[in-house]
Amino acid sequence: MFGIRYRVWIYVLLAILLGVLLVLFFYRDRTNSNILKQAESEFSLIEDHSSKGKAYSSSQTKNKSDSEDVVRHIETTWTNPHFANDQERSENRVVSTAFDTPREQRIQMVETRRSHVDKWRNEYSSEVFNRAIQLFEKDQLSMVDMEELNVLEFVFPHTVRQNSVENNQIVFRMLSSFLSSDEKWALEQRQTVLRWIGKIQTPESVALLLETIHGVPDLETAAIGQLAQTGSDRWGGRFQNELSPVLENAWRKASGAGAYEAALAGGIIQVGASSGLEILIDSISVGASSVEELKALQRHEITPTEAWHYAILHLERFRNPQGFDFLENILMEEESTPVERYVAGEALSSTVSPEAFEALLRWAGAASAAEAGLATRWFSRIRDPKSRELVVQMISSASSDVDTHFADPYILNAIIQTMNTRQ
Amino acid sequence: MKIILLATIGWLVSSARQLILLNKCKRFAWISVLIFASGARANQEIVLTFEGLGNNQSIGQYYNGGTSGDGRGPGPNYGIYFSDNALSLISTAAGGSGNFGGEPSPNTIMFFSTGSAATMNVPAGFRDGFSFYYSAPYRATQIHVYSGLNATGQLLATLDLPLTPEGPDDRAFSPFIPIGVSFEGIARSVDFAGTQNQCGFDNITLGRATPGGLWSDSIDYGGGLKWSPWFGWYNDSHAPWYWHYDGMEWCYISGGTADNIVMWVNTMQDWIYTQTSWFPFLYRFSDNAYLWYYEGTSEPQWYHNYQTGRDESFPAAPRVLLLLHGMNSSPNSWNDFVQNQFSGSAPSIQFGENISFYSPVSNDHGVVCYRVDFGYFDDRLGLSGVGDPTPRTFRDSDILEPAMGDFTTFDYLGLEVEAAIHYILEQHPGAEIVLLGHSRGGLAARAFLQNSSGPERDAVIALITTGTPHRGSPLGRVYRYLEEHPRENQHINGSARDWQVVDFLLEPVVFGIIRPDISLDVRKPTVDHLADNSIWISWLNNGVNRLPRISYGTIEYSGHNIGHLSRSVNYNIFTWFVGAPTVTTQAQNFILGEGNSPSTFPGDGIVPFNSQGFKNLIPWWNPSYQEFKHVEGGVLHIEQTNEIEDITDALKALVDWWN
Repeated sequence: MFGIRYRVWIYVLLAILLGVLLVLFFYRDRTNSNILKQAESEFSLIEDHSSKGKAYSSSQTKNKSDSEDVVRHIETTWTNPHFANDQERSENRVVSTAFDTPREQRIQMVETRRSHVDKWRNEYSSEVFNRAIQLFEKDQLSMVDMEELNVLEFVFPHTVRQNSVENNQIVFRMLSSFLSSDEKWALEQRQTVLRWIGKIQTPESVALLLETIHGVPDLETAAIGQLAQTGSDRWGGRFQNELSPVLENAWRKASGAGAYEAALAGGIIQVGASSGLEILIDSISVGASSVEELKALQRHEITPTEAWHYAILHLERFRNPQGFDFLENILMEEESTPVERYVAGEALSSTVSPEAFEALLRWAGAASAAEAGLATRWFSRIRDPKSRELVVQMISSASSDVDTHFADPYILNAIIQTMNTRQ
Repeated sequence: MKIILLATIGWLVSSARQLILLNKCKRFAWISVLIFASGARANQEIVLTFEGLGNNQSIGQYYNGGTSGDGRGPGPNYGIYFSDNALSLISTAAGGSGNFGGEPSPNTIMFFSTGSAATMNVPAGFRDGFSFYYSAPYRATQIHVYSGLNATGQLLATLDLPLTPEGPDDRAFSPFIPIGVSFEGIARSVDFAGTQNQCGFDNITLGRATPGGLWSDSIDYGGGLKWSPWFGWYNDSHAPWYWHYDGMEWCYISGGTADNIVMWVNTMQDWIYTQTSWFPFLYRFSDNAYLWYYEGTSEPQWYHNYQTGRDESFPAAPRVLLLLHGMNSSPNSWNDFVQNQFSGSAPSIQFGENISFYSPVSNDHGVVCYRVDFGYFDDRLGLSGVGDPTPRTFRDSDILEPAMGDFTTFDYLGLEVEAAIHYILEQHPGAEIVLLGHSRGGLAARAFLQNSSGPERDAVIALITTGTPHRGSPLGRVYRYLEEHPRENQHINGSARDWQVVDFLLEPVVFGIIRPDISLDVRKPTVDHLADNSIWISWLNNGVNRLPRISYGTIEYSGHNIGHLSRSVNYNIFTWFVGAPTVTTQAQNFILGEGNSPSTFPGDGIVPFNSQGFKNLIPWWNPSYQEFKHVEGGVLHIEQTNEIEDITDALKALVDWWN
């Protein structure tokens, strides 16, 4: 009797559980439907930009129908700001987010954009720039136009770098003409193109920046800003030594002590070619009276009034391994002045390279006790494990035979103490 | 076997927690039962495969822990030795002189070429049964089992070996036929009698009447194609190299018994140990790891590592580090890290497109590096800053740098991370990805991890943040303050000096020198989003339960009061300073709260120390979280991407493949 009652209760409980699960299932389904409906209604609110899209489907577009689809897709997905900032603030919560868009749609956006990139990446640079001019000529840019401009912005420097100097002659003439046509093109557009030029980072593009600084007054400041970026974008992950001669020539001709000279010094140091370092160190050597003066400059106790001052202020940006040998030679040569040695050591110790600290260790081996302060200063800058490991390894082996490795054991002690105090 | 059992017990204890978490208890229990069950049987059964012995060489004391006639060994110490005329022979197919084939454990067998019989002695004795494979196509042979050594004592069993079929010319002695006999009592020697050089023996099995061995139960489909109940489909045409059709590909197996299989897995490039009853459960010698091979997986092969609790693939999954820059920054902020760890090779990805147009080169750890270039949505979301600057007007300024995500909300920054990973997975299918975010980059990573789903999210195995304001920063309140105290009314609302600070930070010139290191545009909307009381910080932290179960690490710095922006100039926007403006008390109270001072919020100058971790935010069920605190040294916010030692320490602690 008890067994039967027990079973009945089990069946009743199971039935209730099933009922609850069914209710939950349908509720969930309904909620999802609401979310989907909400998403649909958001998209249906978006303006139809298909007419603007046709502008993109110009004669250059090889696959017209495909491109129109792409255009439409971009328009309908991203043109509408996804939330009302005021509404969110008033409700003090995030109303909706980018992730409300289904993943497939999000990913398709990435792939759609790729079709733009693929379309332009292997074109002649002049073709790419022509397309940019077509867009600039428009009174108002649609979102699709902005999308394309965005692509052109990073594809254009690539196409210039891909093409030979001969092939690029046309585009550089176009660029030069564009920058100087202040009556035809708005300042904003010319500044945009100037930024593109700044990204190219070839001797020709740097020369064009210099030409703009000296020849187009309303772009001078902007062009100096771009010049200052020289060497910071490392195409292919490598240092662009080929940019140095153009900057060096400009440095030789420079006569002032302002933003232009600062940009040149910064560019030369960021490129980091040995020829560039040589010319800067020569300037410093001629101008500086003592190491103390250099330190005062670095501590910002002296306002820069001469071009070489900027060279000192930018020394910490040096990174190029191809300049290491040159700097080490300065450090090791007996003829070098204390100022030259100081500059070389400052530059080497600014890097995050074990090879640079290896060079500094060789200097330390020959250094006198009076230079212990410099050793401490330079080795305390180690921020990477490879350099630390190398230095620790070398000083531990040297500790067993100090006389052979260090002219003055005081230097070794200074380095050991520095290494023991990892900041 | 004792060693294996002890190791197993240790493993039982150490792995239990992980296994429970992984909900693999059933498998674990099953494996454990098999381990103990197989261990008990092994005490009674010995299989001699003769692998590892030379061609036409006396076996001698090899199975007595000694050496063979040509000095090979020491072999396993089974307490077994042979008469001098018992020789090992390698097949011609394997470079020896044996005219045989189809042996159960390629490529070596036993035979005798002199005398009328070869004798096997087992002083400790064995019981129950005796069996082996043999091939004798031309002359009949007889086997005698004795209770004494050297074929003496009581005759316990006699086995007549019928003629076997004859194989082709180049391996006439094939196939090998299994045969065995049961007996009572304890046997101590076996006499292999018959005509010399007319019978080959393999897989001699002591303790049972059917011969053992790895391949004894295999079905031969011809042409080297075989199927084994434990190994599955394989081809032994190039034995001891076996091609495993079921995914493990080339394996080197020389000798072994059902309970003792040592195998070189070529794809893994490692030695593993298993038993026929364990497989695909494996033990790897190099790191003492217990593995489970997901059968059928190939290119890559997938294994579950019980020690780490993670799945491994061979060839190893591509390893990718993705760098995420912060606000007021760019991919170049990682230049030093990339130069030091990746020789400068780390292309930038902008919304799923490699805008650097080169492929990265892997570093010493086999890792490739990319960096996200945020800002794709700056022009698209319609956000403007306080005082109505837009991304475009910012770009028109002399600075000429794109807004780099500073006009983008966290969710769209998360979308940019997702797009970058989508690109990476196209270039490196199956990649394991570690995200390293500086400052707001860490929040972008969290926005992605907490809200995305799909292969992009699944590919991420760890997130490391450095200087990330997981709980926001009071400094971000400056934006709302400026909104409430507009520039137009600055002389009425008392914010004139505060707007001076805003302008100063745009182009900071101290004593006539431009200080780019304190350049900061606080009018950008991202500043508002980063405030500790912002809806976006709340949004992120309310959704922290959606973080996937991966490894997390936060690098946290202290040593500077909030508002301290520069090392070269000891400037703090809240503290009086000669040569640069500082904010009003009214602004300070709004930003830091009444009665608070900059020292109330020690940290890296921008993000308070206690906001840089999210220990109390991360769910209890997600224990893989480590904090790396640096309270000495006073690293400033903008310097954190250059703290390469701190970053690599965190990588080593959290990511196996960085060690």
